[in-house]
Amino acid sequence: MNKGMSEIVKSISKIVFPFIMVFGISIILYGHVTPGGGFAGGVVLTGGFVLLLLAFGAEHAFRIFPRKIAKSLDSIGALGFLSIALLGLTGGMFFLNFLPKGRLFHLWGGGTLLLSNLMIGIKIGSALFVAIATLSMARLVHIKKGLKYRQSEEEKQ
Amino acid sequence: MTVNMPILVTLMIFMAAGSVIAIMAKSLTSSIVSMGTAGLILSILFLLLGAPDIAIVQVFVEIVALVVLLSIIHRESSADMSSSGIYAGITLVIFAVFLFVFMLHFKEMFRPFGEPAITMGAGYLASSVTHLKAANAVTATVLDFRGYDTLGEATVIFTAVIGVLVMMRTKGKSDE
Repeated sequence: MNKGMSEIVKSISKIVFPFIMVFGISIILYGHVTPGGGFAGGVVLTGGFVLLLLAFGAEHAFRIFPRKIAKSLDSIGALGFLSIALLGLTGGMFFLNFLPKGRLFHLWGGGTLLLSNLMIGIKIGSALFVAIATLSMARLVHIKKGLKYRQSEEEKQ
Repeated sequence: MTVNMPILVTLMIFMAAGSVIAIMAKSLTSSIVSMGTAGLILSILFLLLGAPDIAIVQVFVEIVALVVLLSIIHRESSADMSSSGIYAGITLVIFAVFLFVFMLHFKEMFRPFGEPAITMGAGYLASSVTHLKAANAVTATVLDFRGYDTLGEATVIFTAVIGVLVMMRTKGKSDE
């Protein structure tokens, strides 16, 4: 496994990473007030983790955001969004906005929008990170396996 | 828009036939092609049922899936591809039939340019502020008024990630 990039990239990404996280979380939480939302904020969070992955290597990225936690967060986000939709059935309709609507331009406005944004942000952030990190790790394994396979084929011939 | 029942049922029968052939076919190429038929007919069904945005998505996803699967199959083995004039003729006839059906319903499907088919947009814009108290109308539309679509998209991404994890797993995979 590659041990990452140079020291400059590592220290810069260490400094930038928390800011990217805060930016992504704020995009998710204020998705119903300002432009953005769960998808956009989740992709920003993924971008932060992918920065770590590129700078330090996949193993370090998985140490900060373990694969098991990411997988379960993916499921929790999907099920949470579905359960918000199902909780609308308490008011009589699927996807009914059952929470009090609050005030315009405030965090507590828009009823279930905040919760839905949060769930989708969690889901997208962890899911895309798991997919990218797994692909980046598995590529090396598969290239090695393919070389072995080719060698054994040549030996047979 | 009224749905033409006979055409709907015919398309559904075609779709079921495509799915059955996809399962029963012996060569992988023909099963992939019939799976693609089922998917493309599904997109026509979406169009007839008045869901044009999901129909566009379905068409593109189906074509991409078809191309990817066929390219994978042909890297594995290029032996079971034999071109025959009869099959090309049958394909052309089926395509012509679908084109004919499409042209028959062309005027019902599309309004004249400049007349929006859906006039709910203004309602969404107004009620996102007055009723829902959400300043961002895009989020209000995506998560509240069209929550079904977002649920579908979230399911698509969930499935894609599961597919990546299953394909790229290292444990429990035979070395062959």
